[in-house]
Amino acid sequence: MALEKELETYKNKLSELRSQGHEGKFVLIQGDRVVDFFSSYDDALKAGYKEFGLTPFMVKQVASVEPVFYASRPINPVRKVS
Amino acid sequence: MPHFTLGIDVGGPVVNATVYVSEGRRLALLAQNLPIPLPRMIRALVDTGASFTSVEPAVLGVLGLGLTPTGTIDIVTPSTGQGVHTADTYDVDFVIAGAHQQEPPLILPNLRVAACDLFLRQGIHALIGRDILERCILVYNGSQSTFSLAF
Repeated sequence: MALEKELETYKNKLSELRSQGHEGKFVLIQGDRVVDFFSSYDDALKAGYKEFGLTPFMVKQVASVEPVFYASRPINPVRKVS
Repeated sequence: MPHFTLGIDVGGPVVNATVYVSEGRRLALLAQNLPIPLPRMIRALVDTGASFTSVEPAVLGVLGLGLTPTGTIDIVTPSTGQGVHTADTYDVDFVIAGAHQQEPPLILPNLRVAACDLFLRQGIHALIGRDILERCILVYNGSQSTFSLAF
């Protein structure tokens, strides 16, 4: 799956990120590297494109409890096979 | 406050929208002398039952976004049963048009959308969820078959 490595990095480092006070911030991750933290999704995204261009990177909000989103219609979430 | 009013059709409160690659991605494409994909016009259903805006993967594919999600989210839907499923998310510029050209559109730069097969079979390419609606006032006037968005 796409971003598999980045997700693994996030999960492995989540407790460390929380203990460092980054809860709620947007983290930029590329591969196994935590690059930086931002106060907004927009800023993290812009930094990601600036630093990595079209190379895959991930932006994720640091959250101790992963938010779950809902849809009342029977839609099918899609993940890209890398 | 800018606003527009549209008719409710058979499929419900549906808007015309245009999806563009985001500014950051546009700049990254230009830096590599790659062409900027043309924007894609879509029909999108306003869905208060969706907490997140979803777009058909085919639309994202036309924009050349299919290979490069920039995040993921966890979603529960009737089709996933009790389980949580993960969807890729993509950043796009999303513009919702009013009924007339004179009416200001609702412009949403760097919007994070989830890739989801919608199965709607009504020519609907996206569900506009509460992540967008939380920036708006939505008035659903069923007796007049109209709805209004102010933003």
